[in-house]
Amino acid sequence: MVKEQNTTHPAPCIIPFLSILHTGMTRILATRHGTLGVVILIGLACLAVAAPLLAPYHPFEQTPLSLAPPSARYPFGTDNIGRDIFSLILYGSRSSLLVGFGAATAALFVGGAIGIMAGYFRGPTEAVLMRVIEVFQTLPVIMLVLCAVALFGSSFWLLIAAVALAIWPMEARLIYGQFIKLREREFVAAARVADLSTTHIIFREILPNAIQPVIVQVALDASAAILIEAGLGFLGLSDPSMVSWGQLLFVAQDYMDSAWWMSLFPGIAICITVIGLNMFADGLNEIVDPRREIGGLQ
Amino acid sequence: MNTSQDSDIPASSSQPLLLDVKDLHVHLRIGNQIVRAVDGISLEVRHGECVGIVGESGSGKSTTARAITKLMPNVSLARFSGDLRFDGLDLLAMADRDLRRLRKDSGFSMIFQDPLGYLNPTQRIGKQIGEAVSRDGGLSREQSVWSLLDEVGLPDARNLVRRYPHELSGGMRQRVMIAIALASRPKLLFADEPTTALDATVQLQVLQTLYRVQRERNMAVVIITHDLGVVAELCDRVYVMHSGKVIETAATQDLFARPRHAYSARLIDLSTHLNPTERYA
Amino acid sequence: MTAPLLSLRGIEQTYSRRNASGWGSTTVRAVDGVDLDVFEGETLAVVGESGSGKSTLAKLLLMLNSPTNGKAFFKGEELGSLRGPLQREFRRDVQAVFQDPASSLNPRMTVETALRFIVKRHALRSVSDTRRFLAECLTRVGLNPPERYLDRYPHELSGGQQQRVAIARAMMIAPKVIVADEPLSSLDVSVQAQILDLMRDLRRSTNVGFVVISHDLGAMQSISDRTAVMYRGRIVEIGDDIYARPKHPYTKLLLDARLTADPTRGRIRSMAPAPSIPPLATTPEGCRFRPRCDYAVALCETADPILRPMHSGQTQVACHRAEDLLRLFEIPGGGKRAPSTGDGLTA
Repeated sequence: MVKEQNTTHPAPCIIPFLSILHTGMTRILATRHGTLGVVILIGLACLAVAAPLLAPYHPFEQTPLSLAPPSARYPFGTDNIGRDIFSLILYGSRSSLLVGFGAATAALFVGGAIGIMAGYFRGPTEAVLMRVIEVFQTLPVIMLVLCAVALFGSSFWLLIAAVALAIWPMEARLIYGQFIKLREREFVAAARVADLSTTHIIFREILPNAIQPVIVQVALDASAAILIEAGLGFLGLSDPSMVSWGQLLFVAQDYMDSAWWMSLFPGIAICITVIGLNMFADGLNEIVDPRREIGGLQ
Repeated sequence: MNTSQDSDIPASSSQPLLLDVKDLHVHLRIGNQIVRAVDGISLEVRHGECVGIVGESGSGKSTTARAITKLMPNVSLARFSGDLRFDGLDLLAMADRDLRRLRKDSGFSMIFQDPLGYLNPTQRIGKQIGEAVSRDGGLSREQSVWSLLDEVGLPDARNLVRRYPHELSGGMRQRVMIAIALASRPKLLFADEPTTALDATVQLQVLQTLYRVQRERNMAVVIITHDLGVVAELCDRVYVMHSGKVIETAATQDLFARPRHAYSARLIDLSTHLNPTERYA
Repeated sequence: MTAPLLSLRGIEQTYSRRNASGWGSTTVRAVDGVDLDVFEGETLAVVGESGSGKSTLAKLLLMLNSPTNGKAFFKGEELGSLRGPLQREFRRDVQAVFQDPASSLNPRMTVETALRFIVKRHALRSVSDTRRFLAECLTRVGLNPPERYLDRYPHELSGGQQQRVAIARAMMIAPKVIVADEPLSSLDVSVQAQILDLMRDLRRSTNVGFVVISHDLGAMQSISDRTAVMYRGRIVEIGDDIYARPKHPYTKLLLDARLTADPTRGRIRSMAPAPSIPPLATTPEGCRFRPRCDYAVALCETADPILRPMHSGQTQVACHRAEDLLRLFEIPGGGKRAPSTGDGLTA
């Protein structure tokens, strides 16, 4: 038995992750839905990032022309206090996308942790955690979020947390189901017989096999999160210091018949984002179809 | 690989063939490759005889049976050609409707390896058998079902018909499947690995049932299996398949006593090797 | 007589399963009181049909599940819940090969990646030396040239190759015994023979012991030193000569149920049609094999036979009538089967 030399590996998780990302990208671009979805998402991301450069006006800048219909100067018109809607939409994409993906990621981590623990350790842990998940699933989402916002205010980070609160049970359930199924597989038994650590088994053996449907769910969660955030904005609960599409709709309520452009364009923006995410999820679903997977997981 | 396709079939060759397959090709498209699952085989089955198709996994034996009965799974076919005649009828030229009719009455039937997968878990046994019964002037459907259960050796038909598949043992389920297959009074029964999933003790009984039923109905049976023991017990003639081709065909006794092809000899040797108490003269 | 490497005493594994109707649950006694010794360097076969508990026993031997009752001993020390240095030693000395080789290899890892983790965990070699070591291990199980296999994913290998990788994985740590749970049943006949040969070679060259769980008596006969026959959670017979001289009616039944690959010796055609025998109810006190036994007497209904030694110390049987039946069961001519009359089977 030779004592192991003390060499350090580069972060061993990154390499397989990057290669999965690469194969994933190439495969998703092979599907029609996936490509459309990726195109939309990348487009939106670019808009969000480049908002300050693209927007002709600062979003809070009040131009002298209020309630102006779309024109060459104000492509999407102006709102009741004279802000350029086009610029508002561009800046709004930032908060919508951030809240959307932020909440989806938070839900992934929280739901993932709970799902893994319930699914791998079974027994009393499982029973307790499943009840917790069920409690959160049975409470109406909107009520939860409203309470959260009412209690803690509506700052940006709290918003992300509130939305994540609403969607984490789905992730948890999904990961739980995957772990229960994979835990009984013989390669896991083989890892236990080889005396590999529990951490290793969870993260290096089971998780890579569990991840595919989870990725699809994350994409869907992000679209749900964006819709919830828009809903919150529409109810007037979004962070007032940031522009968001829902907020624009909130303002537009009173002007529905007089200034149609105030509701139409934010609405379209939300639609396109959600559709783009759903198409991306569809594309993902195609490529993670177990029949096509490597390794014959059927 | 050399194929020697002689028939050593003794004189009943004057009888018309029940199943006459010539030059069957089934090529599947998997990914971007073409797999020649069945690569030009011919076989014959006469009325009332028991024929075995033997081979290891990937030999094409299951695909052959499914191709003939047109029960192929949902794969894309690169090629499906050949001359398939059942009781004089051209199977490939047949419309789906006529094929269904053939399966429903006096045509052919098939039983599979895993009855649990093929029986409807939400329906009682009696109903499942009853649905397959082709009505015969004399008996009611219920009576037909009882008669079939009796024929396959399942006792207590009255209570059995009310059971669900998961309440039965593996051997009983397989017998139920045989009963369902017999309900349509087939002239030819395909049995795809009928006893592979069963315990040895149960296998003996199910094979016995199959043999008895075959004799009593003068029904032709084609058994697809990797188990030479099954073939030695039940079959009159054997086709040995490998890589989609028929390597050798002979009467059972001749094949085991004097296998002509090295591969057949090896298979026979291996199964006696793995069952070392049996030695043939 | 050397001390056993592994010892099970009174091991039970029961679990309750919810009834199909949803009301209440039934207790399933998968393993119902097993005493077993596993010695170094021997090949012990455990045979039985479905429901015999042999797979559950395999998991218990590997300490993948904890028994609901009974004790297990490793090198004389009691294995409680596995912890600490005893666990490490146990996991080094007892390795496993599983039934479905495709499923026992992680589909997302290449052969090399998967094996590396184990090398690292047990500090078998330095990082730079590992690949060479892995190549040696693969060569030893007949995978040549090893480089071709190291970079493959499991689904790119055939069943036989996958199983060889699994065996290499087990052998890498130089265990004292390998528990193989139905290692042959997913493989083609010709591949089975190769794997059996491999196991024999490894036994010869390294004196590693095997505990092989199987339903295939023929294969086990060719490889085992001792064989244990299980029926419904208990060992009903264990010995080194059960194939030629079975002592328990169930063993006889299993041996008789094997099909011959010899058309001149076919039995099905000449068998009288067995009347379908409705299953007799098992009385809770009696022998559990009673409903299927052709040789049962009154005693068998009331007293549950325990596993006891017979003649030579190596053989143990759990049957009241073992001594009487011995003559009846003797298979004359060194292994030729005596024709059986009734089967006494239910299906």
